[in-house]
Amino acid sequence: MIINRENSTCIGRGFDQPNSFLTYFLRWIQEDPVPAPVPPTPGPATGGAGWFVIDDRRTDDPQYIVVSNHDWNQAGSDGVGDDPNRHDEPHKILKITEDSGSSSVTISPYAFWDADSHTGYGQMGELTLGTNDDGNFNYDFRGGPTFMSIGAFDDSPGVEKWKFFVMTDWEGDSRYLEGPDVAAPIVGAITAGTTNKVVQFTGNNGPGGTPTSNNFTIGKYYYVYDFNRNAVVDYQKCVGKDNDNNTITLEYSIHNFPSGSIVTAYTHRFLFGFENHPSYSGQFKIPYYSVVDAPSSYYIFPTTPNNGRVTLAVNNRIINRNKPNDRGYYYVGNPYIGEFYNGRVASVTGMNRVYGQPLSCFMSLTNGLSQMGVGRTIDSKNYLYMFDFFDPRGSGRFAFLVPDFDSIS
Amino acid sequence: MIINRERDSCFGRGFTSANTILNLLWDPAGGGPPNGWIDRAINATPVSKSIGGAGWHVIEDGTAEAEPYIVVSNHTAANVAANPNRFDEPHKILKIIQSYTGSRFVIEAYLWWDVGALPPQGTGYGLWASAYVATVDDGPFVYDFRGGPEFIALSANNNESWSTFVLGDWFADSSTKWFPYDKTVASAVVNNPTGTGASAFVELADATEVNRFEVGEYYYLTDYNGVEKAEYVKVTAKDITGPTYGVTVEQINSTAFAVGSVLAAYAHRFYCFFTNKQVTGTGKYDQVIPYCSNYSNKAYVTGLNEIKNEFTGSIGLLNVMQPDDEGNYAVEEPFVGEDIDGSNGSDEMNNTLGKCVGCWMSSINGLTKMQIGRTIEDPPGNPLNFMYMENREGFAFLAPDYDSTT
Repeated sequence: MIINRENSTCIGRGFDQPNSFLTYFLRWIQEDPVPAPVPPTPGPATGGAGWFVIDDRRTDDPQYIVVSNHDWNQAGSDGVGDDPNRHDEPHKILKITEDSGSSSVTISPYAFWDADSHTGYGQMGELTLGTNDDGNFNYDFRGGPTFMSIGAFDDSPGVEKWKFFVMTDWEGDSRYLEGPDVAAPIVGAITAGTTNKVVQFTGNNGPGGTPTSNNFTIGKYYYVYDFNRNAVVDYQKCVGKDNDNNTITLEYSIHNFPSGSIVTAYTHRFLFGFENHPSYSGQFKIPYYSVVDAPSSYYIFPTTPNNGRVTLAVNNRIINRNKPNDRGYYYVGNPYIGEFYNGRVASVTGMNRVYGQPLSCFMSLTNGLSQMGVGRTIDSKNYLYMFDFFDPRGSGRFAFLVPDFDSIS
Repeated sequence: MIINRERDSCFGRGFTSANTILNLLWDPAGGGPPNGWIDRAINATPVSKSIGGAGWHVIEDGTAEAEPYIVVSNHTAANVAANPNRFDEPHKILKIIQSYTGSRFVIEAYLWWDVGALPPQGTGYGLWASAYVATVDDGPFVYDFRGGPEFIALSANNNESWSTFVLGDWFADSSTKWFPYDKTVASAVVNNPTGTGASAFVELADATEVNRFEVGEYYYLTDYNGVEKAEYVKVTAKDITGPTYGVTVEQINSTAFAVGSVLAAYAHRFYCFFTNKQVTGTGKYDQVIPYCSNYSNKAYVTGLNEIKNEFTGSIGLLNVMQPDDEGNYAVEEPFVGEDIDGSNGSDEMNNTLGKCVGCWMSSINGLTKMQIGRTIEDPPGNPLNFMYMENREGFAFLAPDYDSTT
């Protein structure tokens, strides 16, 4: 993982202010990363995330920018605008909005952004960071291709703590989830309906150069998505496969899907963490989840508490009971990503899926830590305590740890 | 993992009566050299009754004693006798006793056994677990043996309730800083009696052995050759220039460790869990590892200290998950850790060590003990059946079914 960090003090929040939170962010997000080591306390213009501004709407009210890890219109690129449903390395897209008159900045991740119509598709969450309009406050940006965090210190009386947005990658556990390469675009449309749907692929992108259809397994469930100026996701069972004709059969389809939609085990392997989450409950989210037979439920940006949430699925017990060992090390767990309807009762069949683990995010006892001040050493690298994390049973308080700048190499 | 399994009906428990559980374990022929399931060679699948076994060895046959017993090991009697502190592949040793107390047989786990001439009986050293398997004295019941070099499980169905004893291997989680050393790397034999007290010197053979250890890290000194000694020591200095090579440890609280003792990150990477404790009270928990890292509070440590394996997941995902759309339950590999008790830690006993080999944990939901398990792909793409063997705080402990013998 390569990340760069910038941690300093800004004045105000607006795009129009020279030393503000958003002005610094706009510069930092586009700066090329610099190799390690960066200065102990990297300030402005030290290096950045290496992302791209794909829609600059600082003339709108409210003002906003849209940034991505992929360039939108760079010549010869396969960036956002050229490939809305890109599945090999899906787009990371963030809309950063200077909220009007609210002393805050809103961060919204999307699956696709149409810069011509200035419209996002497949919103995956939303965070409001409280900031000062005109006063000094500390900020912290850190990120790179696989990780992004945006933080501001809320010095409101009685609060006085860091607030963060975090976006990172996760990797699937192959015991539970097929690999990200199990994904392919369809040829021809799928019409919504309760009958079986034959899905056509092209090419020989299956195992060993076999037809693309051979990537899929009868009896397993797959996501079908389309974010090409659209935002629909289905979760359907593969009930048939015909490698001679390069097709599979899905049990049915709730939505219409145009040609070019993607059938996949799970493409957008992202994880979002939010310190403030005004639009819905739950601190940790993945982009979509696996409800079956629930057409009334939308599949992305879930608004029902806890849907698609990420939980510390393992090791919370030993974390909760262990003090540092003789070497001074705390037990630290790599949190597990799992869906379930409710943190206490698993009551909905089809939402009990285990996926995998976030990359470079860890969980520890909060004991002895101060937010952004004291972390844990893991594999000789420093990881900072960013969030409080409550386990699904609400029985303990844990720290969500992310890479410190020492981990940039 | 290679295991064989035998499951059938038996009648009663005594060693010397035909077709009892202990007779089938020890000697189904009722005479001659032992050739029951425990010491029959591992066979390729599929297996059936009287074909294949654990491939262990009876190293002491006390079936003619007043309280009949056998002592079995994964190693031969000669190997056990010649290598009391073997650490490259440490001995698994079980004393299986036809107890005076009826309706059970007792299993005691040791780290070494000094074979006796009968009389006198041999002596075990490093007793680290003691359990019993409930049986029927004179009636029919179902038994289940399964095992091999890395894993053994002895079970009986008494009044429609399975009673089980399991011993398996665990491997260290070398990817973390909490237990970084492979046992074959960070191990050496003590070359001269150690010092005692503060700044005690532990002599090793040469600089190569000394360099297996790191200053500032903790290791276990153990000796089970006619004694029971285990101490958790911190290396404070190394001498790699000679002529006397070795490490200085911060403190040795007990008497000097003899030549042949072992300095290691953790030599005996076994765990036990069982349905019934034979001995209640301090140190006799139902999930144990042989010794723990109590450094400053006691002179030496053995399995008799207060140690409990901490298997994780008890309040995590497992107990809130229904099966997913494909009918799969989440399972996890239990973690082995030290904890002075189930609710509190102490500064010297909080090592997280590693994971059980071939043993899993699941929600019990939908399982019937010894009848229905979970399909686990281990490795991915290789689905194997793992059977629900034991409850642990409301969760199912899964161990290999015989389908997993390949």
